Amino acid sequence: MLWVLAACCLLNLSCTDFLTENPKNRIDQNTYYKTEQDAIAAVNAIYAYLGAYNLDGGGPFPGNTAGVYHSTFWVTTELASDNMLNNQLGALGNDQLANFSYNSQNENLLEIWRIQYKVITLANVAISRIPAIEMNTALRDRLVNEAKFLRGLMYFNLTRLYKNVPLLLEENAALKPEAATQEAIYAQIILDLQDAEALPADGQTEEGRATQGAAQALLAKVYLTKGDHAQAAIYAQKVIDSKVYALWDDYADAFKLKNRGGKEAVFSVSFGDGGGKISFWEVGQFNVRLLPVELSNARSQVSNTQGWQTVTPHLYNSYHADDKRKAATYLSEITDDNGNVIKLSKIYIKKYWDEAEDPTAGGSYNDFPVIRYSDVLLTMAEAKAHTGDFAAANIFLNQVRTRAGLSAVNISSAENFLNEIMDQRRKEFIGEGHRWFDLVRTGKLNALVQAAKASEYPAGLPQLNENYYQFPIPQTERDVNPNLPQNPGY
Amino acid sequence: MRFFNSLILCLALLLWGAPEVAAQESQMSVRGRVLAEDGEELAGVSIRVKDANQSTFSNARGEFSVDIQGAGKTLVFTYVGFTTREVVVNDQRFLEVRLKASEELLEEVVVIGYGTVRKSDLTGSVASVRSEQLRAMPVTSVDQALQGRAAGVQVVQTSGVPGAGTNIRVRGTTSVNASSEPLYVIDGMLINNDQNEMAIANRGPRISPLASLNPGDIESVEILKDASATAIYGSRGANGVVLITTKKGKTGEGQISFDMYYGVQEPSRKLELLNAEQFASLVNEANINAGRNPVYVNPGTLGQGTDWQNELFRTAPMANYQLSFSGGNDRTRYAVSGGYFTREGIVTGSDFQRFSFRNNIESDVKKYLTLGANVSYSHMESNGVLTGPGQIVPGVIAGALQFNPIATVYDPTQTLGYTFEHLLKTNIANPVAEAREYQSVNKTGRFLSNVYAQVKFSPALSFRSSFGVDLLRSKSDSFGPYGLKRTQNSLGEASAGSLDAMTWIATNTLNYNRDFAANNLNFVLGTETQQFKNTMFAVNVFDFPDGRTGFHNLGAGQNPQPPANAESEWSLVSFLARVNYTLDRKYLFTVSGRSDGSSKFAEGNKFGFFPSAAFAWRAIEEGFMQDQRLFSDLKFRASYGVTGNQSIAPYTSLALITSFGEGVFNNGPGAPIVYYGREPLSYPNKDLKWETTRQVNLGIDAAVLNGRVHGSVEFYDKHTYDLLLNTPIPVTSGFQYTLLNVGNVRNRGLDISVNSTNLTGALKWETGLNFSVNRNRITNLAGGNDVLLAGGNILREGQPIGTFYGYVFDGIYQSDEEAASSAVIAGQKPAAGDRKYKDISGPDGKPDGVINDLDRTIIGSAQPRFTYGIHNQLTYSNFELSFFFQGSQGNQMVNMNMLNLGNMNGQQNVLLSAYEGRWTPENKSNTYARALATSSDNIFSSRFVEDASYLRLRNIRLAYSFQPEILQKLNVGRLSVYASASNLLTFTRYTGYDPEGNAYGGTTNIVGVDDGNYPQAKTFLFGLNLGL
Repeated sequence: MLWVLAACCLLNLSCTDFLTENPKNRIDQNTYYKTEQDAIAAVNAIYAYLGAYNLDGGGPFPGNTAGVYHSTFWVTTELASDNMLNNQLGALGNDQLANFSYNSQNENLLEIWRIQYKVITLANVAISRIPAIEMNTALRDRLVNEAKFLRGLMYFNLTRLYKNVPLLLEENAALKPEAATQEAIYAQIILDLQDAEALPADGQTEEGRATQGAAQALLAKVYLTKGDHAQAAIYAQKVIDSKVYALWDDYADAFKLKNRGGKEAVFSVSFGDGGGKISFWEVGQFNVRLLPVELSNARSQVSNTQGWQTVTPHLYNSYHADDKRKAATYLSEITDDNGNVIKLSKIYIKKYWDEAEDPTAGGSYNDFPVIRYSDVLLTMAEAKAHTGDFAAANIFLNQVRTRAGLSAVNISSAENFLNEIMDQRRKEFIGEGHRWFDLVRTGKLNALVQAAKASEYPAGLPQLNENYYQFPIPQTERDVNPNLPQNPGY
Repeated sequence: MRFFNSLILCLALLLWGAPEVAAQESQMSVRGRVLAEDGEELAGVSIRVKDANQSTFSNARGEFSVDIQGAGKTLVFTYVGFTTREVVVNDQRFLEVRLKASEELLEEVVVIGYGTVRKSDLTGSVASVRSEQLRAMPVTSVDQALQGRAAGVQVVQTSGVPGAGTNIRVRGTTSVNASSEPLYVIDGMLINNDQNEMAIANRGPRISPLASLNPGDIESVEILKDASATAIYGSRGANGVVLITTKKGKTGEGQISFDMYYGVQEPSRKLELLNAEQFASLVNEANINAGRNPVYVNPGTLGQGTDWQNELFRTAPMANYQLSFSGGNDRTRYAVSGGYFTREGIVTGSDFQRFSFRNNIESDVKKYLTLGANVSYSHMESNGVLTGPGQIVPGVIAGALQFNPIATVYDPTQTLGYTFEHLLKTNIANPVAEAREYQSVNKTGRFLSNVYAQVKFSPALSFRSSFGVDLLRSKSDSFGPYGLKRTQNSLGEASAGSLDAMTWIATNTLNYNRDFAANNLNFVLGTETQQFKNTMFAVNVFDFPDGRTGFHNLGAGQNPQPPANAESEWSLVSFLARVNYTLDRKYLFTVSGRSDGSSKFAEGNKFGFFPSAAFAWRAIEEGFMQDQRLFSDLKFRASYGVTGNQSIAPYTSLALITSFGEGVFNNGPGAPIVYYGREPLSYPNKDLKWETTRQVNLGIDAAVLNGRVHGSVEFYDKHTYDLLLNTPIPVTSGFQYTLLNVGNVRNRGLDISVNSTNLTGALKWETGLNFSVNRNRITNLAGGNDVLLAGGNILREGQPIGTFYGYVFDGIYQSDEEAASSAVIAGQKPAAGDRKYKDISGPDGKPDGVINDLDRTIIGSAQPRFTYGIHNQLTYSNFELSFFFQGSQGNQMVNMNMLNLGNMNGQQNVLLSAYEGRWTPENKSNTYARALATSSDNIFSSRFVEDASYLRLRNIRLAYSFQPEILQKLNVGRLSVYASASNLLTFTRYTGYDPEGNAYGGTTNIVGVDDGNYPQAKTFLFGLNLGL
């Protein structure tokens, strides 16, 4: 009897320890963000969500491995344009984007929203926490500025896609934020990217990390989109003057595995499983999505090519005979293991497939080009044309044309020049996720989409008025955040 | 808290010191046994020494021991339902007393938390289920046997997977995120039944931890329903408590029994789908309507094609064998049993088997000391198939329903020899290949045992100390060979996972029970300490060019994935107390309380106190009732109390760092640089606290016609506060969900149970009926915000949990003009034959000519209006016929299968009725849309919501017991044989396989969704019970 009482008392005294949680397999946030190693890992976490990410088998969407540039982002902005058609049966979200019948419940638009805010919150953690860590100051500044570059890049995407969105800059920001104006968002993007200009130049830091050139190139694109052409030209000029970047002689070389992170890559996102060191899901989706099913059937070595997205015949048929990009980009027939040629009924994109280095296709080890040097050149050309400096504009335009095998031109009318820019950008960047942004920036969405797709949809496409210049705010987000107004028309 | 603990300690000291200090020197002890005339031991018989302040009760084996002051005293044996008997004690030290049954109802003893009580003395709400009822139908685990057996206890079999668990709701769903499952207590041991902590799912369904208990070992099950009964279990009492008592040995000649059955199961229903010819016509029509070319040149030549349901489902055997022996002498009792249960699933590739062993032993080692142990071990093995919504491709049942009937099962040109996929849609796999070739094997061993010592300080005061251990080790392996659709990305995959879980629980209680004239005081005071730890390990390996060694050789895979392990731990410290006081045999008072400290909550919120009080009035004992003939029993009860719920995962209140992120930086042809990131694990919440439930219970127990009809009616009102809800939050936070204490829910209802002996005599007929009504309502939710969940479920203030939310399907457009002039979904251009939705509202609260999210509304509910069970037993000569109906009325089900089976886009098979009823210019259907290959209408609407009320003949059983004269010649004590059928008839309007079930059975807040669910089987079996 007595020992029970004693046990009671003892328990009572030791209750506090007995009931304290002390997980051994996780680190507490209060003891984290203290060392240089912690700072590096905090910034690595941001990059990890750009490519693929692995939810550790848990979470509400286990198995969903898509990071920002994994596939949905570039598939969406190519489908909702004159470039791509959906060939993925049962993927309603993609169908809706290709024929502009999407609404606020479109799953692609939710995924893009969600994953970019994930990147922003991790960037905010890094930006809030790292300055307080005692460590090498140069490294500390570099890490914070990388986080700022990535935050700027995400807000640039978000405000172009959805216009007025919450502008969150702190760890533990408001749970139900209001939407900020696009003006305020751009102001913040420019602040972040100007800080990021202090980053090391390409070649002075690990390949794949944000650089000074990346920040300046992105600033040029931001100003171009804002319509501040003089500033756009200034920043594009800085990139050009840095002499760090150049075009490969052959367009196809820009997508070879051996040239990943090479001279044409201003900012890229890498894919791959690190030779098995990390998850299998970290491989790229380019070949899975873009190469035809027929290829897997025809070649014993090739697997898991699904051909989920194809290009419009309008685009395929619009190339000049001398344009070397056509052969480098498309697949309209394949040869099987026995050497027989099989004609494909649709046009597929092969430019991300380095057939010699990676004969199995399927999961890809290639990089996704967020900004290539040719984008800087065409940004420069567009900015210069807007400021009336056609002499300069033609020089930069012709660098891209010449590399493609086309003759130099000298265009002096603003309208013609812009049309030529749009045509070059379409052929230069097909499959790189730029098209919807270009169509909206130049106000050519309706005209060019109708021209390319009217014949694909006999039932007709809607008139793509200015309501189509931003996507709807995802309904599930508005369900939990009543402070977010819906964009007009949705 | 501290105050409460001190109070307990003071009381304990008081009791220990007080009444029994001076024992009389002429005292002698008399032991004995009380039996009914037929030899049945009577438990709970009151034995009172006449003219002395001395009394006791017989124990569960009818034994008693009483101290008397010298010879010549008279013992008075009183037991409800029996005639009171007086026996004079001279020099006998052992008495065997037989009581004669009165015409009144036989009185039962009921197990309650930390003790037992005569049913007549109950103040709380307790439903009892006896082993005869549990034995009546073949079940894998005991929870299934409770279905329809007790009022206020709703049991939903979420899946027909052999060994899968159930959802049990005692008086409604009290929680929206933390578990709403009751607490299970086996022989006094509180069991962790959390599927997340005690089971692993490795690409196969989880096996219920309860499946480790052999139902044949169970003597009785008591379900504690009101707060007076459950508050003694404190923070785990809010969802009710299921007390399971296993069979114990009895003093007397040893008994040997052998029980077995063997039977077959088959699918209870098959859906009518299109054959190959019809399907080809549909595909062609869908394409032609979309302005495309037809796909199949000559559908008429395709014939029947493949019936994928026939290929996937099978007739499956099940069998059970149990050998047990039990007995005891005047000091030691034992019961030993061994069992083997095997069941194949009706879906190819699924099965379950269990080997179980139990040894319950108890010995009166000293006059004052009883020691005992309940030791059990069971081993389970199962093979699973994937059903339900699925990640990469849906489960095999959805696959069998949707797969192209033109395709054959086998295709010799493919890697595995099976047709790979059906080509019209990218995400349906060959269900037969998946079921047969994707192995998912689970092996689980569970050692569940406790040892106890009971010290008797005096006839009134005793102390019991018990220590229990629950060890569970589970291993789950899977292998999907290269060549399956599911392994297309991985190029073949194997996984191995293991779980080790250990719970220990120490319980110390002091019991006091003493009569004071016509009054009785009964106390229990105690402490309980419990700790749980588990560790998990899992690894996946991909890329198996040669699959012959399967998961047995993970090294054969060329692409091993990073391993994963995890561990978790929680602990509880509790102090408990209960006082029962009976005044004048008429007025019964109970007060109880428990203080729980849980590691799961944040500092400052760790402790909770859960009190209750109850009062009952045995009106039948009043003088004015003595002259009436109508009632033979009448009792009124009232209780109020507070209970809690702490079933959330450990570490939820902590802000932790995790290592999800990883990636590479490529650099030309060189080796990639691999990097690893660290990031916050979850949205931080430092204010988590208990869910608290306050419950009022009012009840009447009555017996009329000399006890031939007896029953009870109870009303309850349960309010749960501070609901723990995994709440969707704006993803601008970086997270999609976080756990918050955000709401309140109310459950109100009626439990009615009636038992009647309709006929006595040669043909005896007994009926048991129970009827439950529960009204569930969310009374407060996160500031009035809706929470949208999967499966069309919504949590909304003012509505019950299990409410469906979506658009209202409004028939089919009959003309293009009608479609053009109607409100449509933004961006869609419907035409004649497409679906029409109601324009309910707009930004101004009025219909606005656009169908968008503002037009969603409440379109149904999974909550039944009432549930019921009716059990009948007819006995004539040596025959016994029992049949058991069970049903649910007014509940609806989301038939997610119709998303595909009613979709005429020609990408998957559809219901024949939908195909035949589809809209065509000639057949102006208002139900099914036209065939259209480009149809992009898949929005969730009322067309998916179906009435799922059902009445099921859960079991019918005919048994024959052989005549003792025949058996004597064979030297057999008893022998009976029976034939039984389960789920023989189901009356329902639901069009899917099974009106029961839930694809989200693992959740609390998503209810009533059929999404490729594994249906329950129809079972026919034959069995025998042999006793020596």
